[in-house]
Amino acid sequence: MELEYLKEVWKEAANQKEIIVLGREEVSEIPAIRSQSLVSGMRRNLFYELVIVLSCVVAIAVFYFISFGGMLKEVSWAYILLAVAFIIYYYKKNKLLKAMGCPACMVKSNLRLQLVTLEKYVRLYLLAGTALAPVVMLFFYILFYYKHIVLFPAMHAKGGGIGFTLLYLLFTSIFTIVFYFLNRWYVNRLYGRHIQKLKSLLQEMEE
Amino acid sequence: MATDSIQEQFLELIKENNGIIHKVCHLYCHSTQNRQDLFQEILLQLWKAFPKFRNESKISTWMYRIALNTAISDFRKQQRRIGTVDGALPESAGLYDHDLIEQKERLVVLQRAVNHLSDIEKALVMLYLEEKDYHEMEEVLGIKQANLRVKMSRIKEKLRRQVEQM
Repeated sequence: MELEYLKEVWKEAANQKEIIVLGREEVSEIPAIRSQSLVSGMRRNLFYELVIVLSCVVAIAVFYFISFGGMLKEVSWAYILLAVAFIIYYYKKNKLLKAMGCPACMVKSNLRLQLVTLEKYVRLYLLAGTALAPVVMLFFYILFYYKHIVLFPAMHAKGGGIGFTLLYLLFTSIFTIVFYFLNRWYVNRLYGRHIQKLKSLLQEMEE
Repeated sequence: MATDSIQEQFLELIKENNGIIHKVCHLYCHSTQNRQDLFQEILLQLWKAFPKFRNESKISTWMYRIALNTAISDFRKQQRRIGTVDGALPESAGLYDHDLIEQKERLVVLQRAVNHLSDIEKALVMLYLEEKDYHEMEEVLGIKQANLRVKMSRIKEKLRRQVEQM
């Protein structure tokens, strides 16, 4: 029987296994090892994303506070609001990543936990990403309204503000739908393969 | 002081059970670089989980869980693991030292056959080779014993067919 033969080889190999030299010094260096796991990579990327977004937002907010004689400081406030929203978004995503996986649990439970949490993570990603489109459009609408900025004077003169509002609504809807599908494609590209892998592993374990 | 004590206990644990980590690395990684990466990753995960270990399960069960979870669900490394399928099982120096060509060939064929198994099947084969009973296999993998028996007989059949084809 093949496996019985392999068992003998395995036993023999175990006795001649490579001896790792692991001393106190090496053990004290373990916490400094840069983890290559999926979750650690995602957490690192999320943190870099936070740093980049906050740096950009602060720079833009300062620019609008200083420039145009402070006429467009509302834009700065909007960006600050966006930064606050992003911090909340970061917190939620990081919390999900922390909960993703339990290495000391049974393999099946760990896989299930990872799948459920990753699906929640993807939903949050998709929801937040899609919501960004109408929120940005709404912000610009309010800005145009209060600053009396007329984008299409001819249309404004002909039909007043209603025509423009309807056109703006239509454009926002189309923009949101396109943005949703783009987001879905991107999220699927990022995590789709891993979700499929987790599903097939779980299915194999249950068969 | 407390950290020193934990480090000491951890060092003992690794010294006594490093074979578990090596076997998992050999089974799931085909290049030396990947094996080293996976070894480090398992070590890190063990270190992180060590303070929470409460002796509720056997230390080997706990180590198998962490090592297998790291090897199986870590998709970032999985992409880099594609490569040659030879040498994934630990080589038996004893067998190679002897001039038993037939035995060597048989071993290579078996290694190839095992490497064609899925990640879950490999985990099962490893626990079987380690002579773990079905109760402990269930403790590690979370698959019911009846299901494990069925899977094990399917794997044996699969290996037999693959060896015949090679």
